[in-house]
Amino acid sequence: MLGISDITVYLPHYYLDPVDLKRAWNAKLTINKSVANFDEDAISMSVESARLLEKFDEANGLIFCSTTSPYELKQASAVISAVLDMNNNIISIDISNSYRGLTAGIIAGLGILSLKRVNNIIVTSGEIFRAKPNTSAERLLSDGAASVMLSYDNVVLKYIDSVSMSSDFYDIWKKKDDVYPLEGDSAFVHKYGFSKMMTDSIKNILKINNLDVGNISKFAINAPDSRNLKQVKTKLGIADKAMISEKLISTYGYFGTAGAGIVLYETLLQSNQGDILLLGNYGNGNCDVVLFRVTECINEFKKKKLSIETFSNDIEIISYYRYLSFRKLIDSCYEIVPFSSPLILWKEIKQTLNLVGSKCNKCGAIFFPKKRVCSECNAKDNYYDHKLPLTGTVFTYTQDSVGSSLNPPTQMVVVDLDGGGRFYGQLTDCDKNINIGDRVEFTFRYFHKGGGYLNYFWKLKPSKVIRG
Amino acid sequence: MRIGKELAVIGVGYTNFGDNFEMSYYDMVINATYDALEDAGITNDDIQAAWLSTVFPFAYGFEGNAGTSLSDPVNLFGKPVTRVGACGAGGMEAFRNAALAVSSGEYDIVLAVGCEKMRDVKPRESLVVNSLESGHPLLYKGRTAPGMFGLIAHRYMKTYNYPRDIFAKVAVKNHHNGVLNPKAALQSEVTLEQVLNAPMIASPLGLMDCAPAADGAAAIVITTVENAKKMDRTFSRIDAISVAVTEGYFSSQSNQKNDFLGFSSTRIAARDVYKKTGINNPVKELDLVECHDCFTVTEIINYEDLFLCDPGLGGKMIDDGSTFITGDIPVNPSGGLKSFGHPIGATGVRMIAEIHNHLHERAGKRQVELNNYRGIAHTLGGPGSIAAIVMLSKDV
Repeated sequence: MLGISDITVYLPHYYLDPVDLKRAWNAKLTINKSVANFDEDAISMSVESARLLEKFDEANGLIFCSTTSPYELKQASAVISAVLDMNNNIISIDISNSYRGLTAGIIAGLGILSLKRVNNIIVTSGEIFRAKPNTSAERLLSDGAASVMLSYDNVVLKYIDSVSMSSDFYDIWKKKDDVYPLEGDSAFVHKYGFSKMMTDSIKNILKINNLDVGNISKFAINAPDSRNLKQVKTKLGIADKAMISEKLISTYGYFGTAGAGIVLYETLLQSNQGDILLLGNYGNGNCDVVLFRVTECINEFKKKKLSIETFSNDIEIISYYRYLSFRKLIDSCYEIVPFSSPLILWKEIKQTLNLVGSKCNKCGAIFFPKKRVCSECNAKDNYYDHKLPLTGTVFTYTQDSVGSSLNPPTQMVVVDLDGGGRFYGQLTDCDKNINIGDRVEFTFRYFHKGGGYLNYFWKLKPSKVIRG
Repeated sequence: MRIGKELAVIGVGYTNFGDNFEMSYYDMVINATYDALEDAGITNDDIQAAWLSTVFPFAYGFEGNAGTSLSDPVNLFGKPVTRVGACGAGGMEAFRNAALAVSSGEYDIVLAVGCEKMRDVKPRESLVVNSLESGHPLLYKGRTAPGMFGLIAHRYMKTYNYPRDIFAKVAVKNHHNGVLNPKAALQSEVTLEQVLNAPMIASPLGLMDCAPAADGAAAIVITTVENAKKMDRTFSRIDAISVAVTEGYFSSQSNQKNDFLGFSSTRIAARDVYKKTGINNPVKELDLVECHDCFTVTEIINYEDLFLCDPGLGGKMIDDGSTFITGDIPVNPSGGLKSFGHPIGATGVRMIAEIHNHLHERAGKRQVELNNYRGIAHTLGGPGSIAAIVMLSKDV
């Protein structure tokens, strides 16, 4: 039974302050605009969402979809699969250049699965937007990530059918040397763009499968804005309760490629066994529509997952100035570019990306980074690889203003990890005071661009109960 | 170390510490060295071997990266001159190696020099860049010197339930002592409120909890006691030198045994020095202590690590004035790193010179009362991974 066995969502820690935006431009921010921290990008957020997949370690394929991948030449999916500690004998693919990437990834992934060489494929997507200040794009786009697991077994969404359409259409595009995306004539786009193509594609798949609109329990449609989505709803005569994505987009904005995952996640949470669910996705004249049947696994899924609304509980508000500085839309501080070496990163890849330290065979002492000669019992080269636990307790901390940071001060913590071992590193996603004894967990982050490439590593953040 | 021969300090010299804009690295080496030679009543020709401590020779150039940086300015051509590196404890490592060489019988008169030129670049460019841009690309990234001691300060406050005031009181004391010392970098009294209200650097440590980056050089001439007597020089006896090296520059922060309440290196070195010299009660048996107060919290944990008080009572010691010049055990009568300034490689040599000057009642307005004619100097390096302690005494 081919389909989707799990879906996860990662939303960054911040919402943009609407009061600030009003003061700056007299513009009204109507959505909870998710803003990625300064140390995040499409790769790191995709990792964070994929790590939430319950059986991410059982995947042997990974497809990364984004229009904001930090690399133009270098496969982001290879970085992500390395962080997820997938072995080298996997297939990894990047899909770019269209907001509909995630469904392209799902359809391609299901095709690869049907070749029966691999069992589980992660399709992950992350977007981090750098919209031009004081534009509608700034007020509409939200940063975030979502992942789905494609599987043969224990699927919560059984694949039924899909149709795709492709056209050379100019609604939004960005050439290599453009700083911001460019947009086509809005009245023309409104008439012939998303709403027309989505309506046609849905009609098409319904016709092929001998179904009526009324047979579809839930429409999960990733739309660039709720106004266009409303038009599709009206044209097809879809009932309000069958379309959750309209409210979702008007509340949280448009997440680009990640949007399809976020819309699917939230819609699935409100579905029941036996429902037919339609996933619609669109980007730049290209449209995918996928039909799924909700299986009995939905009950288990609903028990484990929380609605996106509950994510918002511990989100903090970020000022417009810090947001602009995070996205390098204003030049706010001296950027520290530390030394880095691809040879060191290659030698230490397990340590860096998978937090592998050592545990002494003789006395059990845990070290990170690993120690060849045990400083507790003096045993030499008598250790085994030890993956650090991902949670711990703050032993001590400091807020350091010496160096420059896009989100000052730099918070450093010494953490006693659950089950042993100590880690000393940076704390992120925490504007409140951290204290000795607070619970923290690892989070994967962009560090710096030393060596001319992107250096990633783990930081800590306050532990949250809420997860996608 | 067990010193073979009886060893003596016969001459010391040091430059003003601080923003020595008008002096080059060589100028400072020359001034400190010739002051020490004059103090010892000898010339550079009498020096048979020398050791040089500079911690950051590569901050902007190559000065201090080898013994040539000492032999070149003061004409020690043809003699063995060694550069040593031990982070903040480098000055004392230069002194220790020089002393051991005399002790071995290989040389009769040697020179130990420490010099650091930190202020030819902006203070925020030298050390900040070193700690944030150099080193491992990822591990411990974001660590700075104040940040390292901020970790200790928070743990100390939480464990023993002290307010931030105790750190500020160290700054007030050492600023006061600095005013009594014409060679100190900082020459101003400060109030508790000023220290507490200074900009935050690495919580809970503010700007005035930090020792300033400074230029400076210091030099010491070492010979045997026998030789000193033969030369008819006043001298201090080198009673003991102890160095303990523990973890690496960064690994102490990820060592689960580290309580962040002090440094095991200091405790090990202090036990060793007291054992060699039969000291049972350092507060009663010493006249002064110069210790490594790179940050105010460091002085307080040093009180405990040097066994001047029991664990947790360091804050009380500064609170009740025990470590003032007039107190039971004067600590950092020179003003310490806090007011004297901290040219890293020079500090250890400067501290030993300070003990020598007090023992011979040459310390001017900051002179401590002498009862035992014995004092110790202590430096930390790395930070806290290396501790060095030197005990000097005067025959009476």
